[in-house]
This record gives sequence, structure tokens and C-alpha cells, in this order.
Amino acid sequence: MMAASPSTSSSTTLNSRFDLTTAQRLLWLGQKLVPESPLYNMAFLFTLGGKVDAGHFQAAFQAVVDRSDTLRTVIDEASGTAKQQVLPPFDFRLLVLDFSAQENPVAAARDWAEVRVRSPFDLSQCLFDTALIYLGQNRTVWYLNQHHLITDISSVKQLVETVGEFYARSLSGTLQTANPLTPYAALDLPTPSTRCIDYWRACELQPVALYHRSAETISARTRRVHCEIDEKRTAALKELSMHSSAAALTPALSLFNLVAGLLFAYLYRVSVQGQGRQQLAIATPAHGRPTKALKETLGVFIELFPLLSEIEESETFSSLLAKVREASGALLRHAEPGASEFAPSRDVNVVLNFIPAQLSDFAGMSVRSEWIHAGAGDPRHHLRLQVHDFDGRGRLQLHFDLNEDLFERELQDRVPTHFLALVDAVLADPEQLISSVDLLGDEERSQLAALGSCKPVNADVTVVESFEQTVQQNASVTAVICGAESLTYEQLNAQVNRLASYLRSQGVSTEIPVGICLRRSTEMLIAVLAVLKAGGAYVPIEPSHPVERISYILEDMQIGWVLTHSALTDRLIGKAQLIALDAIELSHWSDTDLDSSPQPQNLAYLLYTSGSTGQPKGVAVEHRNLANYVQWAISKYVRGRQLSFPLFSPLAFDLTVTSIFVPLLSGGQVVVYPDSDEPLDLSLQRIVQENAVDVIKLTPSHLALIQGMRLGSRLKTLILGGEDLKSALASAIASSSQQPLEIYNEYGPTEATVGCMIHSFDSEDKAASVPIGQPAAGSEIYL
Amino acid sequence: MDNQEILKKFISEDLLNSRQRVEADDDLLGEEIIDSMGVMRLVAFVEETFSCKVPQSDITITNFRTIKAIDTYLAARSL
Repeated sequence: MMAASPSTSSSTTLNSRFDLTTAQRLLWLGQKLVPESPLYNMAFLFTLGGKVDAGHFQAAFQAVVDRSDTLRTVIDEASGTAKQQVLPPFDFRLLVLDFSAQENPVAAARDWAEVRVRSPFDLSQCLFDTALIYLGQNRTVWYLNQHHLITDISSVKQLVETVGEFYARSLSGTLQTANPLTPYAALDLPTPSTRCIDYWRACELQPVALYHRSAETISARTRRVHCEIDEKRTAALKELSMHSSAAALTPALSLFNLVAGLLFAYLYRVSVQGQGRQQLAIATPAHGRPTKALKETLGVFIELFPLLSEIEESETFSSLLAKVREASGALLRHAEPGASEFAPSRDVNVVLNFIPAQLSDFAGMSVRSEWIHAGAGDPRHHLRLQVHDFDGRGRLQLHFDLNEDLFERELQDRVPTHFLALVDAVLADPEQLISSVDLLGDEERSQLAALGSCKPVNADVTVVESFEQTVQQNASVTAVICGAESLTYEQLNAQVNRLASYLRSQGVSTEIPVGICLRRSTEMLIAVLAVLKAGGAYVPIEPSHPVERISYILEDMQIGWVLTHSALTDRLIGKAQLIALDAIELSHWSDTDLDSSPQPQNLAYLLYTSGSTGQPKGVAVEHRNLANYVQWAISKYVRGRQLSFPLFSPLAFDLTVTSIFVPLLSGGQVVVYPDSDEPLDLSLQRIVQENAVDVIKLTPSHLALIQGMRLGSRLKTLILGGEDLKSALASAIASSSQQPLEIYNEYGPTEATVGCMIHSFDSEDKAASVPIGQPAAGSEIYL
Repeated sequence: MDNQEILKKFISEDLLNSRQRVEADDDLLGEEIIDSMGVMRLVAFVEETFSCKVPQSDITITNFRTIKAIDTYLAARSL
């Protein structure tokens, strides 16, 4: 492998300090921004197909340390500017571990590596870390971690093969006669031409808001989601790349074009589709090793360059691939070493790292590689897609490295499905429209179908049963707070049971409508729960509504009982029996749970909406619909926490259903904000000022009322429902929060039980309509 | 030195650093003797040496597969 090299190491021994290359300088700057992050640790576990002798391995690795300056290179910052410093040859001590006694040696080695890789390097000391791990039964794994400052993927391949060659020489006693390796630090790379510099300087691009997510500042934490493309599809992709508009100079470039085209199509579909013609940009590394000698040199040569493509609604895979082929040709033509610093790469937030390199063998032994992810990546990059078949498995490996601040786990896990749908689509018909490909996997489709049609999730358990279970689990937890008063779950349930028992005694039973005409109070909550426990259906009656409207509702439903307050009875005209909760004595009624409860198909409540004819229109909701919505909302918004919700909206609004049942069925709290006598209800402003709740369910009109106010530290989530959400408004609110804020837009007609779909607003609009202020750091807007 | 010899010398010495010899009929691209980045280096060399502009659309497999092909392409350009 190592032909005689004209280079000698004499020049490197004279001077041990060298300027950083452009590739190194950009990496060094990136590391400086997050000094404690292992974001540039490039680690692999190589499983070698045989027993490796630690003594010969040590000798082989020592020979590389001696013969190449790359592994001896560190960064010297003493003079104020970073320089490469080549250390004199040093004694390398191989770390040898034996996991053969472990129950699962393979898993133990991986666990060890995954912890080990997270330690950042001290740039001034040593930029590699390696170990040999015995797994028993002639199985050995080699852990190799290098800082990106001295390596890239070609260098990793080169190092594995060189250590392998030297290992074989050590075994055969010929190690001393091995040639020196091409020096790295002293390489004098030519400066880029003005043609290339001007080309990249003129390049303009915009980051893409993947899944409509964007943020000014995010952390360097990433998670790798892996999938592989099976043999059949991998072969078909290679074939297609050579016989489609992706076909270019070489098989590797053709396949790159196809993969890049798929990534563009994916980005388009999950970000800007529907907004007309768009220019998308990704960054992709040029390997920077145009000559054979550079190909054999250990070190970092890759530089990231932007790859741009326009894409429009009428784009087919074929037409896109032709554009990508042009773009990659232009990129390569201008990808001279050192030119990347003139490209606007910092505005690119998606990286495609397509690795055509393949490992050969290690001293005649097979090598299987596993790329160990350090859980970190450049925070500018929201997605890094690594595509390789480093082991020559015949199956393309896809690693989606996704920023943890920007994408929740559930979404991260769906990314491969979305991408693979496009892979299948291009293989099925490259002439089809990109915009018409169905991206959803079966699981996601069924989830969405469940949301879209409000199919029952867990609708067999009614809210009455769920509430009683919650009481058992949270007996002494505070359930309701109203001013200075509060009730625990146990106390609340006892009062509900007394009233329910009383209602039963009065004749309330299954599906009997019972009016509730109360101002917001603890009693209102007790009334709602008691009607349901008694088996009835509650009918909210807004005390502030005109008497005629109230009478209409009472008549229309032939309501037999109305739970109310003695101060409100003059508004309730009709035949209904009025039960003023402040005037009846319930202490002698049983406070234990009733022995029967409503069935899923029974009516739970009736809401009157303003009908289009002018007459109020009643909408009936069954227990199964209510239970379905509440369980779904708990899983979506609460996620195992105990959260406080304010009760501040009229009971007749369906959004109030969320504020009551979601906390009370998940061990959270309802904080009651009573109606005020002022003409304008200022409850919402008080909620924001008092900072006592975690979640607010509200309408966009409500949201407008608190626009400009500073949101407190406790508030975590806003759930919007009922009207169109203007994105500018949501953005403005997100930006007034000091901490990450989740904003959900939930919608659905009252008939569909509160909210059927959570929808997103468009963050592109957001950028356009919010001239000052961006969402606070880490703010997420769920769209 | 004719064009083919000039190209052979550049590819063998500058791109392959004398580690490999290339002949006029060797499939430079299909065998990946030089990769796409190497081709771009070659294009820059051709433009400089033969004082011509090679448009992006001319950088094709047909024109750059072999040294002979490049020679043919250059001859066609000078017609």
C-alpha cells in the first residue's frame, strides 16, 4: 500500500508549530463555542474477525504514532492564536480491557464506548483515544476515537488499514522496514483561487425550518436515529443513480446526487411545501483529497460547502435530480481546499455527509464498524444525515443526527419513515411529483386517523371512573384552589359524592339533563362532577346571558333541575326546580363513591352554541367522546406531570372542558379565577401576573389580551382552540416568555369534542411578521 | 509532447503522485482511478494548459472517461 514517498519527515522535525488549515480552523472555532461538548469526537468500535494480540497491536499503533505526525498533533493556544503543534514521538500505552466475563460482552463494550466517547479531549494534550477490548471466543473490538481536528472519514479508513498493515508486519517481524507516512502538519496546501473565492462569496442562502422548527440558539445535544436501506433497495438506488438524471461523472457522484435529491425532496416536504418555488440549501463535505498522496494522508481535509437547489410544486424526482446534478458539479468545481470559509456555510442548518469510503480489512481479518455517536453535534446543524456503507454490507446506512432541543423524541423517531417513503417513491417512479408522495408510515397514519376522526383511545373508561381512580392515587393532593380556599382530591370527591347522592335522590339518573347556572367557583366544579356521577348530563347556563336565551335553553331541553346560587335564581324563569347550592345542607348525604356510574355511550353534557339561525343550538357529547378527548389531551399535554390549569372561561365554552377534566384526571390542580363584577373580565391578566399555573387553554382572542405581557416562569404550555390562530400572534407570545414555551393549536368543532386535531402555524409567516423579538431560547412552537 | 502525453503526465504525476501509471484507454471514471474531485482538478489544468473554458455542461462521462476522450473533446473544441 505504501509506495516509496518522496517526502521525508526532516522538515517537520525542524519546526513543530504550523498554522491551522482552513478545515481545522473552522472546527477549532466550532469547538471553542461549546468547549465542554464532545461534538467533534469521531469514535468507532471495530469488531475484528479474530483474536488480536495486544502486544503486536501496541507495536503497530506505536509505529503509526512514530511514523505519522498526525496522531502527535495537538493544538497550542499559548501564543493567543491556535497552532498545530507536533509533539515528539512518545510512548504510546494501549488500554486493554477484557469484557469476556460479562454476561453480554458485546453490549458491555458498546456501553463502555458510549460513555467513553462523551469525554471531551483536552486539545493541548492528545487528540486520540484508543483501546482494545476482548470479548472472549476470539472476538476483539477496537475502540478508536479521534478529534475531528486530526481526522475525517477517509483518514479513519486509512488509519485502520495502516494499523492493520503494521500489525501484520509486527507479526512477521518486518515492522522496522515500514515506510514513513506522509506528513500532515507541514503540508502546504495552495490557497484557493479568486475564481472560487468569488463564487462562494456571491452565494446566498437561507436555513430551512424543518418541521417548521427554528430557534436562534440551541444546544449541541443531538440524538442519532439510525435506519438502513435494505440490499434490494440499495442496489436499485445505485442502478437508478446511473440511469437517471442523477447520473454524473462517477458512480459515487451519481449516487450522491440521488441521495442529495432525496434529502432536498424530504426537506421540501417537511418544511416549505405549499409556498411556491423555494430555494433550499444543504451543506455537504468535499473530501479535499484530489490526489493520490492526499488520499493516503492521515488528517482532516474535508470542508463543508453549500449545495443549493430550487424546488417547486410541480417538481418531479427526475427534474429535481437534474438540478442536483448541476449543483453538485458546480460545488465540486469550486470546492478548492480553503475555499469553504468564503461560503455562507453558517446559514446552512442541514448537512448531508455522504461517505463512499469502504473499509477493506485489518491484517486479513474482517472488520465490522460501528460508529459511536457522542450525543452531540454542531448546534448550527438541526439535521445531519450521514449516509454510508463503511463495512460494505450492500445496505446503505442512514444516521439522522437530530438536534434534541428542536425535535422531540417522537418526531425524531418518525424522520426515517418520512425519508424512506421518498426512497420508495423515487424507486417506484422517478417521474412522479414530489409533492404528491405519501410520507406517513402506518403507525403515524393510524395515530393521525385517531386524532382526525376522534376515534376512541381509551373511551371505555369514563371520566367518572378516571376521576375516582385519580382520587385514590392522589387523595391528599390539592385538587382545587379558589382564592384562600383549597380542597384535596379526597375532600373534593366527598363533596361531589354528597351532591351526587342528593341528585340521585331527587330523581336525576342516566342522561337526565341538569342545568348548571353558577359563577366560576369550587361549587361549579363540584356541580359538574356530581351531575356526571349521578348519571346525568350537565347543561351549562351562563348567568350573564339574557334571560330569554336562558329560558329558551331551559325550555328546549325540558330541564328538570338547575344547580345554581341563591343570588342567581331570579334569572332562571320556568318550570325547572332550582337547587341553590349555598342554601341546601348536604352533610348528611353519603360521601362515598356511588355504586353505579355512567356508560360510555351515555350523554355527558350539552353545550349551546350560537346557531346560525339566531337560535342557540344544542350539541350533545357522549361520555366516550369526552373520555377520548381528555385521555388524548393528558397524553399530549400533561405527559406524566401534575400540572395546574386555570378555570377562567365560561362553562359554556367547550375549551373549559380541557381546563377542568385534564388536570382533575391526571392528579393536577384547577386554580379557579372567579368572575369579576367589572365590565371587562381581567382574569386572564391576573393568571399571567400571579404565575400560579403551568398550562392555559384559551382562544386566540384571549391570547391577544395578554400580548405584550411578560409571561411568568411557571407557564409551560399554551393550548389554543376555538378560532383561527394567527401565527404572528403566537410568535409574539412565544417571544415574551423567558423559558421554553409549548404552543399548541388545537381545533375541532364542538361536535367533535373540544379538539380533534392539533395543528401548526407556519413559522415562515412568523419570521415575516415578527420584526422584533424571536422566540425565547429553546421555545418550541408545535405546528 | 502531444495532448495525450501532457494529460497522461498530469494525471500520473500530479493526481496519482506517480503511484499508478495511466494509459490513454484506461477508464478513469468507471474504475474510479480519479474521483470527481480529481476530475475538477483535471478540468482546471486543461483550462489553464490549453487556454480554454470548459463549461460545466461539457464535464461529462463521454468527454472525460479516458485520456483519448479528453483529447477528442479538446480537438473538437478547437475546430
